[in-house]
Amino acid sequence: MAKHLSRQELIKAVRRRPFVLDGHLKSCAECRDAVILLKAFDVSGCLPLPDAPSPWVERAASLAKKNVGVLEGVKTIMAKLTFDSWAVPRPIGVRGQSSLSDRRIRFESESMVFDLRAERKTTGWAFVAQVTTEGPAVAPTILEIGKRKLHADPGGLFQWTSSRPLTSVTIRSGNTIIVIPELAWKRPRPI
Amino acid sequence: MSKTDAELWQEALAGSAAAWSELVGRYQPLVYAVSTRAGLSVADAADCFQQTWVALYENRKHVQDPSRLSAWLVTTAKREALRLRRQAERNRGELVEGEAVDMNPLPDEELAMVERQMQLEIAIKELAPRCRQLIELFFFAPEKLTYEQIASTLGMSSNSLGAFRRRCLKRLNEILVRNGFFGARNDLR
Repeated sequence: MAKHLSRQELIKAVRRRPFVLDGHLKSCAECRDAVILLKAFDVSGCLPLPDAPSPWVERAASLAKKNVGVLEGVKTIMAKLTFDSWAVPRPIGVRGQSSLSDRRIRFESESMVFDLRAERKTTGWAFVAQVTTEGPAVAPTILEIGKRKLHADPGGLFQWTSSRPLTSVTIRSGNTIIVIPELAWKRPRPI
Repeated sequence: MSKTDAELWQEALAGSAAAWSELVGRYQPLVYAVSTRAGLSVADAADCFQQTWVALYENRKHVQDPSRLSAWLVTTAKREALRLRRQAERNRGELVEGEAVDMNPLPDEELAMVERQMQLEIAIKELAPRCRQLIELFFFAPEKLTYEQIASTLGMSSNSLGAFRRRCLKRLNEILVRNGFFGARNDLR
């Protein structure tokens, strides 16, 4: 029997239009099987699909961990960052360090807006946040910051202090859980 | 032997975070490929990727056939990508009233090919290391290799390469059959 087809010849046979099994492929079951199998995918010679960035994968993988023990019917939504005062360019003349000790951040999901203001104090950080929803709220909103659970004050604001900046927040309202993406607190360097 | 999608899916449904994590690890290149081929910004692609997994997690009780998981992910990621594209176009104010945006940045044929490639890559990962190396050298190496070069890389003679390749392809075929690839796509066989 003639020598088996080389890699290039096999790939060429897979990609040939119209697809025919002739020549060596007619008599060699081994090469024929290889070509037919590869033909099913039509991807021979392609580079492998690249992996997603690991933080993306870790976040997706952690979905199940975050909900262990949670009752069925709970809806989990990932909020999206829509405004960050630290990421906004400032006009010349107001680029001092003082403006960087304050930060305003806004996250939005389907029907909710989460506004956060953070102020750096000498002993730590002071935070004030507000959660607004489309239409009347159907259940009390609770902010979960680490192990702390915060309820809104009569004015609808959540206020708290902490020695460290805030990294993870979850908002619960009835059967809805809104996960705020992890916050980075590395301040941009003033120019 | 690694677990099938159906086995992992059952475990994930029963609350196993490890099984869920393994499924995410297995299919993340597929969702990533769809998210990044739709012409989205990096932030929107990340959002598309994340929302696809959130949607799967939330709808896990409704996904009846785990052998169709890859198709489900592709469809959901595509829908999410198109939604984000529309939103981005609106935000940029580039849409003149009545004007249609190119809403077909992800042709079905391309997505079907990405999905097939994913299935094949998953099956190849299940092969024994030497078989995996042979298949990759034969069919996926970016550089052109001769029969002799492949034999030399694998440390075997050219004469025994043919039989080894046959065994590896047979094993690959068995894995694909077990994973339900051909069952779902008889037209391709």
